Amino acid sequence: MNFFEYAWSVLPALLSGAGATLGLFAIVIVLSLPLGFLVTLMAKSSIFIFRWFAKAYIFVLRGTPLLLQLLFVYFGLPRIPVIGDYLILDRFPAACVAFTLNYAAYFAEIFRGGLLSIDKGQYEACQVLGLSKFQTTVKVIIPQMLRVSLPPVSNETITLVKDTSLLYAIAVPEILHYAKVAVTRDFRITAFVVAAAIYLVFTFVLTLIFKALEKKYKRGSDIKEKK
Amino acid sequence: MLIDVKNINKYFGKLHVLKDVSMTVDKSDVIAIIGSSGSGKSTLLRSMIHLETVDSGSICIDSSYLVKDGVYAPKNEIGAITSKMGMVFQNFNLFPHMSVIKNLELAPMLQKKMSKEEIRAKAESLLDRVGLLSKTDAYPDNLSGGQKQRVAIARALMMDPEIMLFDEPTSALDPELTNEVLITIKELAADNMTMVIVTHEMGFAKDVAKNIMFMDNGEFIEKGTSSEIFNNPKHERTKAFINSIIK
Ligand SMILES: Nc1ncnc2c1ncn2[C@@H]1O[C@H](COP(=O)(O)OP(=O)(O)O)[C@@H](O)[C@H]1O
Ligand SMILES: [Mg+2]
Repeated sequence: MNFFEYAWSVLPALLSGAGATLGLFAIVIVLSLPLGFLVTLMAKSSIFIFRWFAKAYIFVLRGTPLLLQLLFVYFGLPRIPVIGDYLILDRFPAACVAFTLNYAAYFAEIFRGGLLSIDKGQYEACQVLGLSKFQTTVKVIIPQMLRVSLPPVSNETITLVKDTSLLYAIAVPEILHYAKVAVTRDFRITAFVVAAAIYLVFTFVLTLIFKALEKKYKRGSDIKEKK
Repeated sequence: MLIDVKNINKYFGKLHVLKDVSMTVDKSDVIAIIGSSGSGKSTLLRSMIHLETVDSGSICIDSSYLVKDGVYAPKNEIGAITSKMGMVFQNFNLFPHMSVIKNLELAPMLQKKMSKEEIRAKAESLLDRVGLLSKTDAYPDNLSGGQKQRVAIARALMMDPEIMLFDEPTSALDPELTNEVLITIKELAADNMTMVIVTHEMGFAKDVAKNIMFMDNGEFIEKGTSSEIFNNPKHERTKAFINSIIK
């Protein structure tokens, strides 16, 4: 079999692994963005304990490897005395939990930066126009925060695609797993190339989506990006 | 009397920014507040519309007390009191993510006192009034500074304020763009809008304001008609300030 014939023959197996990759990706994005925003709100809250919790959360989750967090959720949580029995998760759900918690911390930090970049004049304009705090947040602050946050969120999202390969560590069969199986079985590294191509297609499509989003929301942006 | 400010004091930490300041504004008054930078002009204006809180004294807007002897009105009443006023900022503070017309429509839409169609008609007529009907769908970033400020004025007018507060409306503009904004404000004056204007534009102040108040170091040192202040200032510091600014 030549390269292409062989590549074609391993593709179905790898694509079946892509299901886990895509599934994890989709679940984590949908859950971690709102959770991240919640943590941002906590970090900005006037209630001390919320602020403290948010800061500690961001510090720990960004300061330790995702792989460690993944292993901890899957292997570690069930061993916690008393409550451990209630924390036994299957491999895939465990990965969803670990990834979501981790990515929420990154997104929280991005959103926090986005909020900081909004001029206080925006809040004042809302106040003198009679908008409530809630209306101000929803109609004026969040849209601007999202726009500023879009490029860094896009970066994190692409990192997430690649991070899904960490599923390998807790033996959830995904793209990389099937590639490794093929490589070991057939003594050919072509399957790794095919795996790389699948990841590239994912990240390429995401890049296009975010480019389009950025273009859509770029209109009229005079927000200074403070980093 | 539309605004009655009595003996207000304001501190930023230890800095005494407003020192027992009093002023009144009657219907259709156009009052210019002048004074060097840091003298407390913005703080006074911002206190009137509750962007700053004062430490003592009273502010009464159209016979409702925003703050009386240092005690503020209940939170749920403050919005109704300050809604009598519109404010225009030095930096425009337009919403950059919304088109010009959406900037005008946002607050009335949320307030729900008028129908969508009425709000749209009103927004268009105000844009027409400030000469920017052609910019309805433009975004703030694509406007010149003078255009932005005129949109900001129109946006404030959407709320039908009885009083307009201007905090150095032309200070952030290139000199060649100040005039269009000053003309818009003069037109408001011609329509009998009550206005308090903090400005460095002495020619404009002279032109449009019936009364000029000179603030220095947290106090009003001199008040008078524009000819009194400009041609015959009594206080040494007023003289010095006017000489320094009319080079
Ligand atoms: N939020 C603030 N915190 C601390 N000091 C302030 C604040 N705002 C204004 N000041 C100080 O109060 C004084 C009066 O400021 P301001 O009212 O802005 O003066 P003006 O508008 O006449 O230039 C200045 O010394 C300024 O530095
Ligand atoms: Mg000022």
